[in-house]
Amino acid sequence: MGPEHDPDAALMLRVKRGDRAAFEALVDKYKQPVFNLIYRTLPDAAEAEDLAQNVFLQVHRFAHRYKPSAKFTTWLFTIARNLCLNEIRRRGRHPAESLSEPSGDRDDEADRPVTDRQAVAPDQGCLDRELAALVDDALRALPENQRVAMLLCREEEQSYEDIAAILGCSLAATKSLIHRARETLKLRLKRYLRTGAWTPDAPSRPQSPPEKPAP
Amino acid sequence: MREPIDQILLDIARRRPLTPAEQQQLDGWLAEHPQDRERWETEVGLTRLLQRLPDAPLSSNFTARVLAAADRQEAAGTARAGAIEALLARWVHRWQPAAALAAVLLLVGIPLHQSHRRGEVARSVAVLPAAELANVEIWQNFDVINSLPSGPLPSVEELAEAMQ
Repeated sequence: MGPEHDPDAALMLRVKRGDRAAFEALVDKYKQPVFNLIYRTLPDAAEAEDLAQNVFLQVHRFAHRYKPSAKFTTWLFTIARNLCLNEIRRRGRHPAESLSEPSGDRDDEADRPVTDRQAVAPDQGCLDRELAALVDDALRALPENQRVAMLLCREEEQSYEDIAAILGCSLAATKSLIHRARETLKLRLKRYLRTGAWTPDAPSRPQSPPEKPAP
Repeated sequence: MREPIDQILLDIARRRPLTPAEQQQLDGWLAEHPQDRERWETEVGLTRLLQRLPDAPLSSNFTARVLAAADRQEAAGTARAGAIEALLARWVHRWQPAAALAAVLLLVGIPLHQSHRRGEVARSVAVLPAAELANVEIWQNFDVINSLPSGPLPSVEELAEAMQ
């Protein structure tokens, strides 16, 4: 796809020529999709923002190598996925215990939130957050390639062909990954699928992280 | 081979909500295949859940931080390139006379050396007495002798075999 058809490719060609405003426009446009992917791919979300920043720094650094023959987003998400994989491998080699994550063998169980089933029904926003957290957990439990395929599938701009290019596998393999991921998710989220809404008798879990203030 | 219509619609429904026209197509198809209605409900329900997943919480100053880091990266790159250039210039300035002398020595020395070697070879050939050269017939069994195994002397049988 040429830059005349892909506005992102046109922006990227401007970045190649050192246009800072074009780079800013690209960061603004794609920071959320890239961060969504990284945040839900890494086992530990604490460094997801730093990694997302690195993705855009790589885009800036290697702008001179960019060729508008492929879609910009394919290039961008490929960088994001590769950085995620590197981080997962690095953590595999040097595992570190998180100080904030609760661990089953510690005696801090009393600090964990426990649902009071007798309490009055919480508001819809709270229930939505809880449901989102359940979906988030189910996604995080998927194998890495299935999870990335599912997350990219959420991005409407990404076709199956684009996803296959990012994952570095065939179209058939990509469709198979997505199919298997969906089957697993359907099993795990069975009780919410009919209505897509919270049911009060469903098992509860701690809330998703709140909105982060600027560091 | 054409994909069945429900497979095409399923591929679409897995990525986004169906348009009214697509929904109409699906309704028509489901009217003929009511046994698949439940499967479709779960598929659409899952897509709806995934689409409703909120964005991950991102700092409000993310773009500014990326731009600042990019500026730092660029400045570091420029400084690095400048340092390499300065180092190269200093090296050239320091070693320029020596490098020039080495180049002149090589340019003059190599042809001189080659010419000297050629002269030596010509002289050695000229002093070789033709009468002392071995008779050509001596070499007629060279290949046979050369094919003998190395190490201890061969037995008579081996020698005979080699001669054959």
